[in-house]
Amino acid sequence: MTDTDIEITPTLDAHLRRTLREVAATVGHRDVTGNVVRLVTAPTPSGRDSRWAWLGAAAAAGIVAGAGLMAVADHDTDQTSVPAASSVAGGGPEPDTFGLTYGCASAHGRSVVVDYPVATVVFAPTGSAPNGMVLVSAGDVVFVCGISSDGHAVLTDHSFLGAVWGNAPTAGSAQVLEVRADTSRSALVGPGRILVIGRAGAAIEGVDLALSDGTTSPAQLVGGWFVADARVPADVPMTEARLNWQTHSGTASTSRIDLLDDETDADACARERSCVDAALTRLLVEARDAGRIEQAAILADGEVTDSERVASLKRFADCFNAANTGATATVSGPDGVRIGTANLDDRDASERMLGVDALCRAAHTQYVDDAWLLLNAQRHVAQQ
Amino acid sequence: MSAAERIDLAECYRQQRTDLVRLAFLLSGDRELAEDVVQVVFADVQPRWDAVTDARAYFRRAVTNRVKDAQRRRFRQPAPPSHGASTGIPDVDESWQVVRRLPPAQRHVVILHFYEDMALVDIAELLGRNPATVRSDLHRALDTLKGTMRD
Repeated sequence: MTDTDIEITPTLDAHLRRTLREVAATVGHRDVTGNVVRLVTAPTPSGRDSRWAWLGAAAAAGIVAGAGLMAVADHDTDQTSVPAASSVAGGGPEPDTFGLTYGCASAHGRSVVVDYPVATVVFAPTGSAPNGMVLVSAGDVVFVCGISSDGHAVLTDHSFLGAVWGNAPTAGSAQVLEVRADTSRSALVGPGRILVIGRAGAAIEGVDLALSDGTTSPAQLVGGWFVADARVPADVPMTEARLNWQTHSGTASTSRIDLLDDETDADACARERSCVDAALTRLLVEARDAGRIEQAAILADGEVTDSERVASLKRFADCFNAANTGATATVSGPDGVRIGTANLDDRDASERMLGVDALCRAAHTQYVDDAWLLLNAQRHVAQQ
Repeated sequence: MSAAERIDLAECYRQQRTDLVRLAFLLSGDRELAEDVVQVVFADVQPRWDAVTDARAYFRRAVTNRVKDAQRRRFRQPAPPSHGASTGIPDVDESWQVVRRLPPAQRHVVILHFYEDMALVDIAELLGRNPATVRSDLHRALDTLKGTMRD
């Protein structure tokens, strides 16, 4: 086979090449506002701990909400858990490829402004694996953090994720993150490292990461994003680190950093979950009131565990139900075949959840190997 | 390749990420997917980075396959969102819309041939398809494009 027997005029050939070059060039030269920070922690050599965290935040067309998602991959068991996935966009559901979408208003070409800081935090005690790696792309800005050149591990089998709490510069703003870590250590003291990545927001002039020993590390501020990175000396508690915010108007405030650990900080996780739910609910209510959506969808990847899938679907269904006086949840399999419908309008929350739970488990049983479950929480508009 | 000659993975990420996102975007028509694919490809390669001898070829193959897998999993999805691809050049934007609407198999061949300058036999090898099928796909795609593009 040769390429020369493909009939194409020089003009069409040139035009095609130009078209593809011009279109490709639009990628990598865009406004980063409203984009998603992606944090990828590559597997350590032992292959035991790979974490991906997505932090999404956006505010558009009057909708203000944020949610972050994280997947924890366990290469020992080949299981990936995806705690939450939800999407509400102006045009309706827009699931992404990996079953993860963001609880935020999608930009969709509109101007998106995030005026509140959101952040994700990685605590990384020094350990034995010296070549962890963190790849961060915030919009068009690429940070490559943590290639160890001094023998210290950047991320080890015992790394942790945390969240920023406290006095954010914008009152009432929610730093909403859904993060989990399969933590197994209880003592979080140096030596180690803290890495904080997030949106700085338009009002932010500077961010410092301050340790309890008095040292501070100024964050890089690029295009509305920030990355604060600090080495933590021996015996310095990592969880006592603070983020100090300075705004253009001259005000300053401090956020504390909490470890998110299901075992040791269940309350923080509960607060996080509550914030996510609240944000989703608010998003849904506003979108519904504005007539922007008739339905919202959630996709659960077939690779997620049963319990995580069910938990995510239930939580989403609950949020949706809270935003709608009448709704039904329909679960469909990857072939589009409807599996069943649950009435979410039951006044008894436990009954409602039982219905959704049964529905999701039935779907999982039916599509146990290759399941993309689509939960359509279709607003059931009362005809009054 | 000796250790001294090896490109550090982080440096490779800096150098190639944008190009690979662009390729993934052309293949998929979806920016978010393109960025996700490239991140996952880089994360996956780290444990076996030492075994990679031709980084460019490796990443091109990995990105293409990831996009294919992702599109396969995107059941019942309509055409990728068109936002974010406007060049402001009318004839280019019109032509891109035509390319975007090509069936994925045809679009992939077009992208790899005209954007990556790959020979059809190499495309067939990369996609794991019969060379005759790849050639046929390109023919069909060009027939479509000839009928709609300004020539």
